[in-house]
Amino acid sequence: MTKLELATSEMSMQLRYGFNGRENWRHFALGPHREFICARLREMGTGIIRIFFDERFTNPVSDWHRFAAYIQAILNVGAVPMVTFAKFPPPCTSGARSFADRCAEVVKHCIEEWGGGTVRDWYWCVGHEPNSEWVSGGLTFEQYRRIYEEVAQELLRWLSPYLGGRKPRIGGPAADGFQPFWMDWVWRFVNEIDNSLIGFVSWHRYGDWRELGQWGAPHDETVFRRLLMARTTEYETRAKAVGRILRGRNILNVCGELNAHSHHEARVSQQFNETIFGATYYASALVHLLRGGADAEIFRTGTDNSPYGIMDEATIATPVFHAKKLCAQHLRYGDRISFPSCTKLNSGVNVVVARGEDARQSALLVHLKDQAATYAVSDLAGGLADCGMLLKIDGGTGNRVIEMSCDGTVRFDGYGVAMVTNAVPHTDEASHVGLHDACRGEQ
Amino acid sequence: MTPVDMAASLHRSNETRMRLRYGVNETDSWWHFALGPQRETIWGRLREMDTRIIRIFVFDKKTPDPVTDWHLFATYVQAVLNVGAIPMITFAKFPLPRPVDDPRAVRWFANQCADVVWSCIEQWGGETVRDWYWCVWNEPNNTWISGGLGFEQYRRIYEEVAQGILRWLSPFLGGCKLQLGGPSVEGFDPFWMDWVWRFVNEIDHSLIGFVNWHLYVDWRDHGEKGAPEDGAIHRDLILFQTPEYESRARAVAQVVGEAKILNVCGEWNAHSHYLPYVRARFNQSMFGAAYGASALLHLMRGGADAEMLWTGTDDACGYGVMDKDASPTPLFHTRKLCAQYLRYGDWLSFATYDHGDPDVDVVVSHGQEGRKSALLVHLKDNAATYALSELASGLAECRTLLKIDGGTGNQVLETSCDGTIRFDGYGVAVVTNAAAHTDDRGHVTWS
Repeated sequence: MTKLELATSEMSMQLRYGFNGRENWRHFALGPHREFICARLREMGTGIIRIFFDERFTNPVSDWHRFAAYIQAILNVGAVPMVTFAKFPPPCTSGARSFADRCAEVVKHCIEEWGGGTVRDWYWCVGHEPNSEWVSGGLTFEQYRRIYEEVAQELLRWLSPYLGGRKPRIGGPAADGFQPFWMDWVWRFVNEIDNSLIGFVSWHRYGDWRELGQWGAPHDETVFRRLLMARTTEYETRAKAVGRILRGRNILNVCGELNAHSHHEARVSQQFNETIFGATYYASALVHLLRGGADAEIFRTGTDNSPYGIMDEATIATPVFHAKKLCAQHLRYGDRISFPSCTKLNSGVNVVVARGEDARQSALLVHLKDQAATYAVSDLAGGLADCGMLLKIDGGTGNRVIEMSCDGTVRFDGYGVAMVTNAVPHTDEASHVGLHDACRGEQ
Repeated sequence: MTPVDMAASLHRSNETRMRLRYGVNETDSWWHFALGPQRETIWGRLREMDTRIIRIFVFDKKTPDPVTDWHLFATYVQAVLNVGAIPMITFAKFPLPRPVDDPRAVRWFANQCADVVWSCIEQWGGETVRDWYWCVWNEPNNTWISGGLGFEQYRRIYEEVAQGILRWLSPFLGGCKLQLGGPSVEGFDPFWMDWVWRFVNEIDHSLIGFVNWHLYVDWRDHGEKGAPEDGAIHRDLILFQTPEYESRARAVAQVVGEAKILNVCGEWNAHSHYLPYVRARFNQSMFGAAYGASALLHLMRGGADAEMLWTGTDDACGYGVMDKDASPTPLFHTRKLCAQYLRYGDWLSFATYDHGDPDVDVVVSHGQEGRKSALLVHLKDNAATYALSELASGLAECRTLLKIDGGTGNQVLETSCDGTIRFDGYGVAVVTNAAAHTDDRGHVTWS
């Protein structure tokens, strides 16, 4: 593939799509629908799947067989795992060495099973929201740093023979973004730890965690949704702030968990995450992560009855699956992307235009309001005259993407995500995405 | 063609118009500002910083009660006018224990506010008072300050106060917008933006003249509540976050959209620790001066319409740019440099270098009559030398260097510029082709 020429207003799409497989690993790795789930994940362009080394879910040391099945399922998707060493057994610092040894055991076993040439490309994340007292019990940064350095050194001992000059893909701190001083952790992580031990920085962002009317949140659900949607711009400002710390350091900028709502009870968060609202939220967050220059997004979701689901255990997809698939098919790694300035002050719609190989061109439109609206494509972005196909999911399409010819306008029935394009993708039986030129195909 | 038009016609596409109004808060040490023996010197200093807005409080902070002591309150306001500034009168909160949910209490409070406006009109005339700013409440989202007010409660208070004030001011507005605003939201709250968004989206825009938001980057001492133990690391971390002023200003601008509502950072400084001696180390040092200059640059980049430093005058409170005797802190000098060389209406360009290198922020300004300057903020506590030509182009004619840093002894040194600028630790410098001079009343002239 030749490198695409960039116009001055364009940037190269460098974001990898990902997926958190925290709660749902059994369905994904061993469940009766595992192959179908894998296919769905491929359809979403999943390049990274984040899993947890946490005894609550699976213990690779004592139950290697099941853990290996889990990893293999990820490889079957065509993705690489981000193995997260999530929980530090107390006492946090005096036990750091033995914890590091156990993490290194996992790496050693993985190399034995899949070979160093494969394992060197995997991601290893140390810690999960260590800045959150709820999650990590009040760990200080100094304690975390000590654990990180111990673990990273031990992992490197096994990985370094295979790296061949590459940087190890070890990272942290997977900071909880609700904490007022979350940026402390990112800044100190990069500025106080030897950068040769850091391959990526991970940070988390959800729109909200509060129930309607609780802790100062609006009582009115419509107001709450509008407010949540208005805050998707924070993905951009946070990605940029982290990017500023990382400039020139060869460290990846990873939004390691995102979704609209993080409440653990489905009755609260499902309405925000698994609806057309959630689909729109994700697409808007993605646009802002692209603008902010993030290198990867790892969507917090599940393939079971968790409140974050992209599909249930029977693989029935939620709207966010369709939105993510649309984005992955038309906004592809290496594409030239631009953000039309005409939408800068129009808070009703987000737009990103992507140009790829073979003259493939698409524009993603994200309609951020729960009301009907019609947009003339030419008002939003220039140069899209040959984009004759429209793919859209919104309140009126019944949880599916409808495909139709584009007459130059896009009408949304409430929240929605649309793609106008000159190349419609098709998915083969193994869920590998190919493209054909829709207009040419019709001729 | 006026000089301003000429400057406008010459601006380049990467330039933005400087539209930030400088301001300060005068609250805790109001007596020294309004009545103290050095008040006239203080006013002169405020003029030197081109102070256009001064935020003052009523019903809080032990400021004069306009109901029971009008004369003293009028003196407080008159001090603002003597500076040549416009007051932003903040109706800070209910005198406790009146319940905010009681409609009669809300109406009583609105009447009190309206009475202040009426009395001001009586004293200074409607033509003067119509230009003043009126702010409803202070940090209602902060439980410590406001006792955990909900937005719905705040909105009721705001709307009632707005209607009460409008009753007296509307005859004088003549098509101008009422300069009433809020919610003066505390910026440490993770959901601070809720308040701004709901304020703009749930209140009639005819009742909103400005949105006011506050930002201190930290309140923790070294090692406190997860802050770095090492002071140098902590200071680096705080300075790294001055671009937050830009991103918040932009975020607020996005919420406001095209509505005619001003975007005001109504309270800011580096540090808001609850003990004066702790916050003074951050705010009233050379570190605080560099922080302040960097924050101003980012507010300008973000398109804020006004800023109000917390605070102007300060009797051992750990915030002020001068003490009760008008002795200046380093931040006074850097604010004065900004005010003199980054002036309302100038064309500003922010060299890409300032975001590419975290050690220095740079802004170049073009003003009337060919005035050209660059302001540099050195953000590291180490010695460094910069070649001017590497920071920004087109500054060859800027031969005068004004600088304050760790080596200048809390004063600005004026020297000729040899094309390089050397900083001794944190510092702020201006290179210019037109040096400003201030007369003893704080008015600026140019040479």
